[in-house]
Amino acid sequence: MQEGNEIIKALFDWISGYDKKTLVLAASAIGAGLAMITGIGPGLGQGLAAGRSTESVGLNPCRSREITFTMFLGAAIAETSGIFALIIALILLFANPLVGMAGAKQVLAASAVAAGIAMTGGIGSAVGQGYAAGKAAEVVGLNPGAGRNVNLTLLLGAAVAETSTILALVVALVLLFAGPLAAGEKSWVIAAASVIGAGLAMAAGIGPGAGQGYAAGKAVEASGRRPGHRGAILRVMFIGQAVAQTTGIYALIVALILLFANPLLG
Amino acid sequence: MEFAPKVHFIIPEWVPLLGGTGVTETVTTTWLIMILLTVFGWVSTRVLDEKPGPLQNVVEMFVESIQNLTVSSMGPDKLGFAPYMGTLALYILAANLAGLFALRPPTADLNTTMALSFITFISIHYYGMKRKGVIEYFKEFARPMPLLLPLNIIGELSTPISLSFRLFGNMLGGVIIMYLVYQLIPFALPVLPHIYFDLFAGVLQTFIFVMLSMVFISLAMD
Repeated sequence: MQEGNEIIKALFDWISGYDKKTLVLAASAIGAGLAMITGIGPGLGQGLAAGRSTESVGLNPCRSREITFTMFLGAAIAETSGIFALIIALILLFANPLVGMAGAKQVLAASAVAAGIAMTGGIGSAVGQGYAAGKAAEVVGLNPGAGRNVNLTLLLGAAVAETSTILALVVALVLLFAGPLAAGEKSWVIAAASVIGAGLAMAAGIGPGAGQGYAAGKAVEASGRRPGHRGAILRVMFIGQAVAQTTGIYALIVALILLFANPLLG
Repeated sequence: MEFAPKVHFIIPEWVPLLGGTGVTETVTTTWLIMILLTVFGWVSTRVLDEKPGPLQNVVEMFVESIQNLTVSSMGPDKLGFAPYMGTLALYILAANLAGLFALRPPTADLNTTMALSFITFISIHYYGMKRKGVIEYFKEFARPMPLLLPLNIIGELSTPISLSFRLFGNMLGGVIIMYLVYQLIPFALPVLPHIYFDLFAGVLQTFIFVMLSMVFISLAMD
């Protein structure tokens, strides 16, 4: 126990030994890398969409134009999470607001890392949207007359499945531009750990994103089969997606409490 | 921050309420869009004919498609929302495409998108209450069980946040990436990312914003 404490103390001393700019820039490099892990999502999702589309073209070769259009539309939406993560990484690399900010350097460094971690919450949305795009391409092949209906349902379902990524982006931008917890006379250990905790909480967005994408995929399938029932299908999809969003909203609440009403700092 | 909107001029101190506030690119571009849309609206409806000319044809097509979209996604009893949805679509589209004319899209500023989503947020609850009655409307927040009340409220509050940040995030992403591309190679290459980030994302996000506004308002009403 005593030895463990010694190691942690040595680690803290080592971190605190660097000057502010070096520490924040080093942490930003890690944060940018972490943010780009989100690329897993669009990769997987677009692969899923492309796979289904290929299958669909194989079954209905004469519909290949409609199927390709739907696939590109869905794949472009599934890219959004990746682009959001790229924004955070580019801000960290080229326009880092934390370098010039007043406050404890360790907390600012932790904010950079946490912003990167938060963005990984976008993985789920991208996978889910990719699944929905794949379903859409499949059903367009089966029932090309419902193409407009299918694309509309796909857009709406995928837009809602994006919510977790957007909430993650909000938290990451707050971490970068507001630098909460950095100011004041508090223990920097707790403040830095809270900031990283807030980032970790947002990674929970993976679940709602993927789940809502699944719901969107099934709604797309349903509206392709029964285009006349689009209103009812959308209604059920939105209600289900709102319930699936619950855990993501818990995560947002925990993250905001950690950042703005932290009970641990007293 | 080089990606933040530039401050063009500062309102003089003697102006009441607004004195000393910086007027940013977002505001001036919005003024420009307002002027253009107003002039376009005036010119295109100045001479209305039974046999429409080319300009009147285009405008009629736009009005009709907005009306059809409103009816098909909100129901025939909510045709009255078509003018609002059409205005929203025209403004957001013009704002998103401003990037093609070397202007900073006003929608890449959180102030613009928050204001737009706030209008939708107010409409959702105002028309929900108007249609169902205030007490009945608030009772719905305690469904399916009263325990879910706080969750439902937070869910409602996250609607305008996700609506505004979806548009803002997409357009800001375009602004940042285009800035970096222009730093790297300012010739020929930027055409491709312009097509994706301004044209494709701009049109798509306009459509998504309008569609989600329609669906959320009609969900609250029936």
